[in-house]
Amino acid sequence: MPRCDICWNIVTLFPMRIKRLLLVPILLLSIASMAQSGSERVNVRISGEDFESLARQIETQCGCAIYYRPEWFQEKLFSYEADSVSVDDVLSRVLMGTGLQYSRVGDHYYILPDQRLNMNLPVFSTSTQNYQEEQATGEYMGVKDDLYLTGTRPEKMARSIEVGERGASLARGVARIMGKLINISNGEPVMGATMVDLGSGKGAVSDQNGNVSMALKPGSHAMRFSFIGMASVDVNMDVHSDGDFRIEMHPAVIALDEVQIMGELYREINTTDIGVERFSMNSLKSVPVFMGERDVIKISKLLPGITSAGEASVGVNVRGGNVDQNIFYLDRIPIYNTSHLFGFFSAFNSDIIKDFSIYKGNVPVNYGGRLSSVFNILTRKGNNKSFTAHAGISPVSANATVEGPIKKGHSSFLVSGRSSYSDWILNRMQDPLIRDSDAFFYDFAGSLNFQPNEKNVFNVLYYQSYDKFKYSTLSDYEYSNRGASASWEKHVSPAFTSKVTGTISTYQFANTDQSEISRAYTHDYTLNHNELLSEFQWIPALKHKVDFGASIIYYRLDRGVVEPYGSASIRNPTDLGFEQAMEGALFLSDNIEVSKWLSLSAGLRYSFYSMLGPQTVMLYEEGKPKSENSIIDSISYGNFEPVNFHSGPEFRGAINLKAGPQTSFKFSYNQMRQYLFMLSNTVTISPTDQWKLSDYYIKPQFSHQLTGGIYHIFPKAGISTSVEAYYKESSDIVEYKDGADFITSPLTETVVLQGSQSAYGLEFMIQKSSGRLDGWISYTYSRSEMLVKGTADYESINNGNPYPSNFDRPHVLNIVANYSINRRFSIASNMVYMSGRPVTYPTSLYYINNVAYIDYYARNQFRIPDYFRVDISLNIEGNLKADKFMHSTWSINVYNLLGRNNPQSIYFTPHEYYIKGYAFSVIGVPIFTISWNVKLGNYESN
Amino acid sequence: MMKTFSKITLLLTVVLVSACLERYYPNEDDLKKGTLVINAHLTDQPGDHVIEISRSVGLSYPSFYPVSGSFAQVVREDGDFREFSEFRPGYYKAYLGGDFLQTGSSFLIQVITPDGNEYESDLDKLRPVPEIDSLYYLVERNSYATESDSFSGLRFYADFTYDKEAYEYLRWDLTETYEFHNPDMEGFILDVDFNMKVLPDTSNYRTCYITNALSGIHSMALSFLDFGIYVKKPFAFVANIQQEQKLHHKYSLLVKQYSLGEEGFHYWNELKKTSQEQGFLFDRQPALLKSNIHNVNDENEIILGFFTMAGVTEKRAFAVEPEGLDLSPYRWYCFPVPRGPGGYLTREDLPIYYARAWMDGGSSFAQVNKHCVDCREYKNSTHIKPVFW
Repeated sequence: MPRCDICWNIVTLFPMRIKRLLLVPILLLSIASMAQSGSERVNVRISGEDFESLARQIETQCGCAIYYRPEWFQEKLFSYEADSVSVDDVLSRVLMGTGLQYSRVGDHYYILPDQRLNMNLPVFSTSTQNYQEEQATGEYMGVKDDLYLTGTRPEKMARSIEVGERGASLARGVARIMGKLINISNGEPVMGATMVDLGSGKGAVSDQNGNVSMALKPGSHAMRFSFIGMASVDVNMDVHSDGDFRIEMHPAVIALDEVQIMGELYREINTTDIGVERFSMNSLKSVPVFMGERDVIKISKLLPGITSAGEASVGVNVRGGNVDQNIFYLDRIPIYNTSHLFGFFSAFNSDIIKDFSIYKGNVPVNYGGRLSSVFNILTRKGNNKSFTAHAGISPVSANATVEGPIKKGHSSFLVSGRSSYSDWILNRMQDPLIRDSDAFFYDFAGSLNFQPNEKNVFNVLYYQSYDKFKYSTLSDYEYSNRGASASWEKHVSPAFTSKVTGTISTYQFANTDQSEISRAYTHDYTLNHNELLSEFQWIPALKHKVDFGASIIYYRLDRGVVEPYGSASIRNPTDLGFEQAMEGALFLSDNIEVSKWLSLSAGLRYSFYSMLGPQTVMLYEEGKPKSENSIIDSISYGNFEPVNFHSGPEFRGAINLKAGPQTSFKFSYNQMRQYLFMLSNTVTISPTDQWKLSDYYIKPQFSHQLTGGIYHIFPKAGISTSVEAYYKESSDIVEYKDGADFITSPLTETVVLQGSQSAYGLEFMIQKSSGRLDGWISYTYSRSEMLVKGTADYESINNGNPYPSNFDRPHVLNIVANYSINRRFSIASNMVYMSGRPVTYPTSLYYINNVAYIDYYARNQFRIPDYFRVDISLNIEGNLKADKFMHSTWSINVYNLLGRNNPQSIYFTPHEYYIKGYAFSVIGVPIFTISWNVKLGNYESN
Repeated sequence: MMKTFSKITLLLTVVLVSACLERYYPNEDDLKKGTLVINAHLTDQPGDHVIEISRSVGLSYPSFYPVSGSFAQVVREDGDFREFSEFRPGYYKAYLGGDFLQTGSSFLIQVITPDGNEYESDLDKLRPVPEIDSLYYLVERNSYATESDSFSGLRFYADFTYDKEAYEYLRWDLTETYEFHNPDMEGFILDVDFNMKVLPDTSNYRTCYITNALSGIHSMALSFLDFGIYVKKPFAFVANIQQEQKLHHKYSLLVKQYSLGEEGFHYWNELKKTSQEQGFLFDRQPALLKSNIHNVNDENEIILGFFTMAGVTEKRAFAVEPEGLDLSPYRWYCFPVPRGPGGYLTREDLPIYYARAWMDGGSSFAQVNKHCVDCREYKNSTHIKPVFW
């Protein structure tokens, strides 16, 4: 029942300033009663109802009165459910985005359009400082001050949008809305942003194309759109039926709002995601880096559950899994060698990366093929508003990026390249062999983005990386990744989205070894991965989402011919073989919010694999080790004739039990299958290690993982905390016999053994994502163990006893902290502590002809000394003038500030009567580097 | 190839990021010692052959820990055998004649230790061995920087012909001999009666011949090669270090080439990888070497060492004042530098050696180490010119 007709008749007759003056006596009369009015708690249950119903519910419970004009709420319907909330909370949420504000005077609530009653006299205070102080105490000074601060930021102004057609009937009572979130400054879609219905607390996250969808009941909804580094947008969304909308977001003006880790705090609580890490590169720009190169893989090692065997090693070990159990996607292009310069740097140029996600627990069903993790790296789309460019130099490399619109607002391009120039260091060395050596790398990426309309998006990416090493005339080695992906995403309806992606990826290496001319050789290796993937998303009902699709991969692997090199080489050519295989998968997952406190995600991925001929398979004598000497027969397979066939389900499920708005418990079960693996007989991946397909003898690998976690957030402090525990069992993990050599024989089965791997761990994470000081502290306790026990002695490793994996590091503590002094200066620091990795030590000495040799008895029973490193960086932005042609940033980094020698390996060499032990540290001194980056435009330009 | 990558990565780490190599001392408590070790690497060369029987020892203050009082014999596949007798603790010797060492025959060894345990090896076939066609050197610079800077020096190479399948697996042993000259000084001795005497020329040994077995295992499988001449098989790099004088006068390298079976080759090759190719970025797991010698009554007992029968051939090369190297003598080597008055001497300190050297028209007289006036004091050194010299 409207109670304030008279009041408003008076108020609306006068201009704003007069209105306020007239209200003063009314307010004064009510001030006495303010002290008595507490924050009455009410229970509210409305669903698609008008404001009067809501007001009636509130008034009945609190004994208060709400004054408003009914015409302001015409055709507006509201949905809101909450127990034991204050009237203030209810009204502020419900009125969000309506352009209406409420003011409380004692037991009376006055609703006014776009303004509040000022309880503090004098009315006009324009001090910014006062404003901030008042904000902190929850009071509000008035619309004038609001305009003072946000007048130049129209994105802060609440506005109304309508979705769907008025009067459209909805048989199911639910409207499916589909939105597109765009960064207004460059036209790029905003990926990973959250859309939250403030009334119901329900949210959704935008995909890589900035699309976000949700099922809502018709009516008025206060919606908030947020993303790291972007100003939040509040709108009042009038939902009539299924429909689309578009939200333009502005980069945050105040840099201190930026946070280190992407992701809204509430998302961690509300979703069934478990064992998932997400980053935006923007949020990581202050983290100290090695040699001036920002590296997503090195940054990922600062997260719980992700380690590596060495300082400069290719790849990562995720939750106790081998390096080859991770897949790295760059816009769905699989990258098979992720390193430059033997692992010192990542093959991914950070300039093209927008953000990346790491799935290490519950992996979405549209990903598969690796047991331990999926690194999903998404590239930036070119600026479709204006041309811009970035460039940077570090002591090792230089990079440049150019981007701009093809058709303004609809299509864009981005071209980026990076190249090393470290040869100048080698060329200055005295040693002629070193002086004649080269070490060089580059990478290049080009992308096109077309969005002819709101319903269709086309993306194309080409990527190439290349490395070359030449060690005088003795050895040459080069490798490259080349790949392209093309995707078409279509929003068939607000409830249904399809996406088709085609990718091709080629990994090649070639090496020539002339260290001994009579057995000099050259070897080329090529792996082709061609994939077609279709993904669909359907939102059948409120709080219910279904993803499904299929994928097919054609592998073509030419392991190459090891051929003699040079006229003096008497080496026999060795054909390591050609392999081809098909891998396919059908997948379906269902995400449903069963109740306010329970969300479920259940998925099934059914994968199948077949190696195809032509292939000749050797048959070996039973009861003897497989070797060339025990071959008794062979089987030949014709072209495309199946050599083997494997298939099976991969069940993926997760549960989220919310224990309140800030706490949740999650559990997941995850199965994975892997059909190719890395042939490697070294502790860390070496340059000539080869990917190999599962074949007649070598079975696919399988894992299942159980994860449980507790999550709690402290929204006001911007802190999220989590504890996750996991247990993972993997079977048919490939290990290698002592002395395994992969280039002298094509018969891989003669040097390979398969065993089981078990891993478990407890991961703690505290993350602060707002304020001047942000960052995280993570601690992981984990173990990883291998067991290779065959029926015969020659089929066992370590005498058939379990042994720790090469990368088993029980204790890992990472601290990442960034302190923003102001918008121009920030300092950041990392601290990394890890238990030393396992190592096989000498257990005793023995003598052969007076020379001491080492007895290694048990594998990996000892550890190298613990690892400890501190890095620090200072980032200096150029001046903040808005009108400038170019903006530059200096980054000063000190890696390994303490100059500590962290051994990468411990090894021993024999001498007459004794042995010498050595500890080899990759980095033995503090590494000081300065890098400089420049971009067109001002500080805020992208 | 992996060794080359180690070089490249070491280079990168040293040049780019200041890698660090330090001595490392493992914890003695972690050790497991006392494992039986039997080494029997017999060849087709008639003469005395040795079997070593010992036990493994800890890493600190290591020394050969002999197993004395054992019985050892080598048995040919037709039952003929030769018994070994202990000639010093842990070393057992037997003369094996050409009639016993028949190429193509298989042999095994049997050992009974004093505690009564019986051990027997697998059979190993005595294979023929290819001749070394030539052994030569080239002046090179060693760029494999480990503990010291790189040096110029000589790298020795061998050529041999691979024309029989029986030659598939080879191993090489290297022994160097070089002439060493002490500086031209007048030697003195302060004898136990406190008498200072001039060392007679017969006692003042200025020229010696030092012979060292070079550590390091050289092995190679030829099975992946086509028949032909294998050229430039690289062996030891001899650094031209002024104080060592190795290359200053005359240097000789003796290469013994052994022909192994597959199992024997695997053993030596893995021993090489675990002892010489560890460290740096691409560590490989050290192999847990399995012996071909077993306890007859306890198959679970772990034995160290191996038994091989190998055909052997050898070649020697000389390098006399090779060109392209700076062979100027180190003039301060053993130079007697007076150090001022010292403390008093007792008989226990005697004898003490002195030397007088002439330089720039003057002389210098001071105490020196004995090896400065008697080069036989160097390890593995003799003043007797070898017959091959």
